[in-house]
Amino acid sequence: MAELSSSDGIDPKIDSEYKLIEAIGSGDISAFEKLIQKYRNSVLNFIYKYLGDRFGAEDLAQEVFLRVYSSAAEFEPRGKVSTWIFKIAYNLSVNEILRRKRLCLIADTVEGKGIELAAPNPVDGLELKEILLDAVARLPEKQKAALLLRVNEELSYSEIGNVLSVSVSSVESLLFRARENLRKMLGENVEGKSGSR
Amino acid sequence: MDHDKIRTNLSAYKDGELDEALRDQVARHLQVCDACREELRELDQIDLLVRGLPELAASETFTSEIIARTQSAKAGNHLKMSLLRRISGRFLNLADSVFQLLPGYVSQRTGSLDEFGDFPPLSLSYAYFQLIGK
Repeated sequence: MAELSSSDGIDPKIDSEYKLIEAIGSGDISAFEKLIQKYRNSVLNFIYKYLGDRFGAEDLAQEVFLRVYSSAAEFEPRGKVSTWIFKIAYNLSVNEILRRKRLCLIADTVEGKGIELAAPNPVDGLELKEILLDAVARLPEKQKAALLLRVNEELSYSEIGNVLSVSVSSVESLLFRARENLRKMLGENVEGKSGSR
Repeated sequence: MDHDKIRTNLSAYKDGELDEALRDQVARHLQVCDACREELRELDQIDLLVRGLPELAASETFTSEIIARTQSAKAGNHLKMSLLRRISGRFLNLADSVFQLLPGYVSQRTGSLDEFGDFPPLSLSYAYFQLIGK
């Protein structure tokens, strides 16, 4: 269950989403469909960019909505519904990364090869967007989540803090370091190739 | 505030998350510092690139698959519950049969509790005694 603080600044507009969650909690399938339609692409793309590849992103996004359905009855309307959904998406994505790392360790042990999950891909021949997707995926977990939630979902620092269970000042620091790291990783690619976009 | 401290605040400045006093300090510094202006421009560029990352569209069956999974989970739960009820019912019958072998044991299902069943009709206790008396 997501613990949401009242510091999110509840807007009367989001009251309708609370009602939607309440309806889902009582088993209303059409309300559930409405919620899925609204959030499916943003949840899917958050997971896709977080993992850095499309493999398994849709399955994981479906799992997010199944969790929403099963815990809707326990939802406490103290924060935004979107914050709650992204918290579930973030937690599942982190678990997926850990699962993949474990698989890599097993493969490493079995094959005796030095496989590193976060190893940089060779950039020759890759388009700027692919290089960037790879660079974002290689950011430390919380920096990556904070950046995606800020830039793509336009969540406030307070909302990001709720998703990641950290303070607002930590979010500030995470975003500063995420942008700094990306700038370093992309290096000349940002300067050189963005002009051609 | 010195240049390095201002630099670390550029990201939050860009996001409009600084308090008024700090925001004014950063804005004043930006007017005189080329390096910070350049860094702010690069931060904007980074965000622009991240926003422009390739997007996926959910498949056409995305929603219907989730709904189907919730329904099958529900059906699975019903099945589990009915199995549990059946198993526990058989276990109780078995336990009752074992206890009946003990000397002096009187089964609650014999109806011998009728003498206590003088509750008003339609009360919960009346319904309960009717139930166990059968």
